[in-house]
Amino acid sequence: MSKDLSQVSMEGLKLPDFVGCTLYVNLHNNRILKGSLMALDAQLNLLLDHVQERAGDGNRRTLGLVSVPRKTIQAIKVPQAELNQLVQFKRNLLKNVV
Amino acid sequence: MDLEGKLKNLDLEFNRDGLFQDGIMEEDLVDVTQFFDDSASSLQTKTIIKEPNFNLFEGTHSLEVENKKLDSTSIQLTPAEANFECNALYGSDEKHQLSYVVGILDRLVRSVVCWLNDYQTLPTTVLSCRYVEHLLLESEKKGQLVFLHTGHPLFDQILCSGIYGVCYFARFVQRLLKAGVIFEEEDLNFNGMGLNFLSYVEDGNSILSLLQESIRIASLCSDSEVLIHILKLLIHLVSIEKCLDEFSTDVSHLNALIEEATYLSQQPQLSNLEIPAGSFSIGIQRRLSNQFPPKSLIIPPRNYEGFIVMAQDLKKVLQVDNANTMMEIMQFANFFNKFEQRHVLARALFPLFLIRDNRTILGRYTLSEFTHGHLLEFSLMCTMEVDFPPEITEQPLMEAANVLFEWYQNTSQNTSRYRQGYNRQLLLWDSLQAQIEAMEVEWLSKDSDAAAIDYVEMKEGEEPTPLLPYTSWVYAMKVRAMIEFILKGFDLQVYKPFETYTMYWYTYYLAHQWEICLKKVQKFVDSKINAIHGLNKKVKKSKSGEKRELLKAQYRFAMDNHMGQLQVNKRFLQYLIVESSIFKSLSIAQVFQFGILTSYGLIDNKSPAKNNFTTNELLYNLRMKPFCSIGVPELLPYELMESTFKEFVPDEPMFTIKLNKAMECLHKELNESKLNVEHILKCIQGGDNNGVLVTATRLVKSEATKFYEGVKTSIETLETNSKKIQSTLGSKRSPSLREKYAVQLQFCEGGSSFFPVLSLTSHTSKKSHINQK
Repeated sequence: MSKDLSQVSMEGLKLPDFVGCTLYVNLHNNRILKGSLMALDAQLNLLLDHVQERAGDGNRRTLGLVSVPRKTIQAIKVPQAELNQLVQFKRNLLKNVV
Repeated sequence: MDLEGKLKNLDLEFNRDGLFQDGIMEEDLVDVTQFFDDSASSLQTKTIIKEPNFNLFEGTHSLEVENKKLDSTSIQLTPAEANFECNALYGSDEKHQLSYVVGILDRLVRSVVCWLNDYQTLPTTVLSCRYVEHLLLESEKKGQLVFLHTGHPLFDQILCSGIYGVCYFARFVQRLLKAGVIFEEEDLNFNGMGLNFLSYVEDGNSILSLLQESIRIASLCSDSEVLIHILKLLIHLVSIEKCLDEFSTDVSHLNALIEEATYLSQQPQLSNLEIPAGSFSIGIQRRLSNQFPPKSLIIPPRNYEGFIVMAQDLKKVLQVDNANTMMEIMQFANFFNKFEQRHVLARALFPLFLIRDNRTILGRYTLSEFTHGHLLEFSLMCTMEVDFPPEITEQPLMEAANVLFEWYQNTSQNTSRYRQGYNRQLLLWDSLQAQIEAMEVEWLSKDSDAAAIDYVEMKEGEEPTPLLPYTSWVYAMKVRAMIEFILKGFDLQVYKPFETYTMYWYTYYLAHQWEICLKKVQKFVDSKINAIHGLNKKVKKSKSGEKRELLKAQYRFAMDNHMGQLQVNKRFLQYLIVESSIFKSLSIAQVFQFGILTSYGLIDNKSPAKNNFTTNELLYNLRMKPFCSIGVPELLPYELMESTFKEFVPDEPMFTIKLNKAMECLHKELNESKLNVEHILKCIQGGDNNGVLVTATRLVKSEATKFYEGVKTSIETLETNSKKIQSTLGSKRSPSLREKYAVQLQFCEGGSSFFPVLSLTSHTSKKSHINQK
């Protein structure tokens, strides 16, 4: 079971900070995509690159550059470790700026 | 095993857990959906956040999930396709089992034709076979060939070996593609879906043994004749790689391939064969790595003839090995792929067979010998520079070899890339000319004896010009490339009808420049031939015995070593001069025809499209852009094109007289070009010992004949078309003609695509034609 957002500090993070990040996107039929976030728009349609797919039957394969419309998305997830790094990076950045 | 394979094995050993075997488990993930939703809701509607280096244009190539046209995961398979079991035995009895195996192999082999001859993709043809996918995946895991376990040799042995035969042949195709002489998607599709095409198999012998053994087993079954023929066909397919591995010119395998394909194409029972349900499907596009949208399954037509085309084209390529001279190699390259595009494998094989990995040409010439040979057979023979020490000439010859190889590689390209290749070559030839000319002048100026420079006196009383044999050859190659570049534009329908005048006017200019260069070299060759004959006269006149003997020896040496080549060079140059004359005549005829049509107000050399953002001069400069950085022949300015154009348009006063004069000139040029083409055709048929022209087309006789026959057909069509225009339009101009007719560029059947016809089409028929469409 993935962690709930309330359990994690997202302090100071904004959407642009996730660009380049590895996302795990849950779709229908237990399908999961893993890829680097290249772009997103205000409707939260995502463009992921170097996408790997895990189908409902467990079959894994590579798909390359994939666009994921918001309506198809059930959940967007980020590895805890990567999220921590993002938060830390942002914190340091802000500290230096101040 | 290649590096990729080793890495994959390492990856297998290091088997990690997690959703994607990346060590990350579900509980390591944080759900940020709500955060993303909340943040996105505060963005302005048109906002796009993107990675700074990412170009959104690339995004247009992305695959959209849950879009049936783009998402291969949405492919729906039938239960038989989805659950197809390769290790099951299909067929209730031996007869049915045999029928299934023949059916699968027949379809697979025909899929190869669809893939290579019809430019279909690999996943929709060969890889649509479930057995191919299964065996390649399983074999890769083990790093060796694995077999089915149905318990029946028809499947476990024969079907497997047949499939490995096809896969091994695909590996050879992949090798040709990786050599970089043909292009993915453009020439053929090798979307291997991440499968390893038998890289762990050392050579074809193991596959050949499997196939031979399968033939032995098959021969024990009754009614297995067709199966044996399919297996034999596969043996010959697998053996094709010898053309590249051993540069073997033995065509017995190709002949046998043709025989097998002919036999199989005559077997009507093959069309009625069933295959196990689900054995061919588009499932692989859903199962394996795939960066492309779903594509429909290709049902191969009954088409074994495709193998015949392939084998014949490969045999043609191997014939280049019989070339005796550089002229023959060059003419081979010039014609073998010119009139009709050859099979993709033949086009890929040609440059690899000619220019070999061991840096030799056909295994016979070093790179500099090859280039030097081209020069000797054009302009270098009997010049002062022919004896220059290699330390001086080596470097420029290597430079020239690189550009010459570009030319050779380009000749086997597909019809569209062929023109692009010329475009790139123009700059290479031009910069080579600049380098080599500077070097040549330097060599000659260093020589204290000014008489060392070879001069040519073009006309009596005129200042002689230096021959510069190296530069002359490069220049001739460059101008020829420029002509091909322009004329190929007509073939590819790059030009609009209004540009016809400009492009043919320019072709005429280039052909004229080419002709001047050729005539200069020929004049020099002539002078050398005359000098040798002169020696003989001197021998006869000489009274002193010692001097006489010396002259006699000189004469004999020249006759034995130089005269033969000089005569061949002279006649080959004469052939090129006749060809340049054909280009000139046909180009100017097209210019006259354009002028006549302009005089009736039916066409103009200016763009008919009204556009505030461009001018006709800009369009002209854009069209001539590939030539703008070329030093010689210099780019002709727009103003000159405009001023000469007016001279080709008959106008008042005395319109009718001027029109008749233009018609007369047009027909005179067409007649002249027809005579020249017939002359060349006669010499091609007669062979090079005709004493007039050397065409060096011995190895490409039928291809060269087809090309010039095509030009002849075009000349006849231009003639008929011009008469038709004349009779339709009469000799009086009228503004209403413009409402009635339009001018189009049309290709004539069997004609040369370099010279399409400016034909009249009536507006009414054009409209009805569009309506019909």
